[in-house]
Amino acid sequence: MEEHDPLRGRDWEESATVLTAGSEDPFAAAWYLTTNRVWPLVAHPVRGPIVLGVVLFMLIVAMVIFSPSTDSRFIYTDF
Amino acid sequence: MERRALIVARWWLALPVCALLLVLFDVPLHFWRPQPTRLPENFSAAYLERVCDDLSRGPEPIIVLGDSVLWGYKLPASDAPIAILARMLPGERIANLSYEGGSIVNDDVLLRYLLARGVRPKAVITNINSKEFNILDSAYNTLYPSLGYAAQGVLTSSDALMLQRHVDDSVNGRLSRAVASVWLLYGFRADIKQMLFKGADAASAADAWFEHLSGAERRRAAEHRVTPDRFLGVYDLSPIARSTNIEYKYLIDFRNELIRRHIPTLAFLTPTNHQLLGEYIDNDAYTSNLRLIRESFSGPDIRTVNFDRAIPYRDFIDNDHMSVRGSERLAFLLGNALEKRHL
Repeated sequence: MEEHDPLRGRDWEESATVLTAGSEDPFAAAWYLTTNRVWPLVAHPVRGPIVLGVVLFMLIVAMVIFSPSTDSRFIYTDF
Repeated sequence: MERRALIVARWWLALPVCALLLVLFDVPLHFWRPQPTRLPENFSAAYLERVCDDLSRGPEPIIVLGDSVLWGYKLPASDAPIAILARMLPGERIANLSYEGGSIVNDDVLLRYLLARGVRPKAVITNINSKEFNILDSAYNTLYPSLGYAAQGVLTSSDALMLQRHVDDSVNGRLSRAVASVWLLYGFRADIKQMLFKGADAASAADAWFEHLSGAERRRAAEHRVTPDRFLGVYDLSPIARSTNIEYKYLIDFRNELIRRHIPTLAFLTPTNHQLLGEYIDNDAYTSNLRLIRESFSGPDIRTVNFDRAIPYRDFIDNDHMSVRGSERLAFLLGNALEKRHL
């Protein structure tokens, strides 16, 4: 007999635990969302690679934009 | 084993997805044609290339080559002298290519670069700042890094010997330039950061933000006093050595190039705050160096005017940078001189 999982099902996502984040068990909520929502998307044969590609793209753009300026800049004397 | 290979194959599919997105992201950058009121505080070689290419099309522009005085140091772009001048001459296409850290050395190389890229200036406006003939000046023989990269093709072996260029020739530097030449997001990164953070990068923006919040910026501004002692040694009063002074050598090269190409030129000696610097520069040595510079920078199509004492001291914010009022005065003087020159 399947063990009863109180966290399973959409109703749980709209429950007080999730809506008032951190009030009851944030770790359980995070685990639930990772295993039941994120992982199925990532493991999907078509959507998975697309999601990973988008994440990689965002990482690369962020690295370019937020990296420190390494170009030698002209040091202007401010009097 | 088969299942693992399948998973790996799926992950590999992510790479073309990422590459496709990067290519799509580059498309708008490919069509980006910057037409700035003045060059940004930080700009890349790719940006300079784009601006120059744009100037090579359409009506012949009046090109402004100069240093921070013409750029409008500490002034909003719309209050810089050239922006005011452009409003006074609405029929003219004026491109302000001056920047902080400019000098005659930079002007000469930038002019050669512009001509090589097919820009045909209707006229050139430039300022000659006597402090830049001082070997200790930071712009004396130093090219702005982006110009150093962009203008590599026009630099001669003599330039390579005399000029300082901050060009990274390590494997990392070469690889970076190779990537920048094919990937526009990377090539324009300095310009994107400048637009997003109004500075060199996110770290500088965060630093400025914290300083603003903590009140350090306000305290520093309140404590900041422009006193003569800050300018001790800024102006070299020994006679300019014609044979060894690199800035002077490039002044002559710049003049010769302008004459050879028949480009009408209006040059002016940079207005200087004599009230502040009087004890250092109100003497014959300073005057005779100015005279030499003015006499050397002359030719059939070149008019050099002396604005050294043209701006009242109250319109300066330091030795040669001006307030909005000073900027308006300079624009007015330039407008008058252009009218007399019939450029």
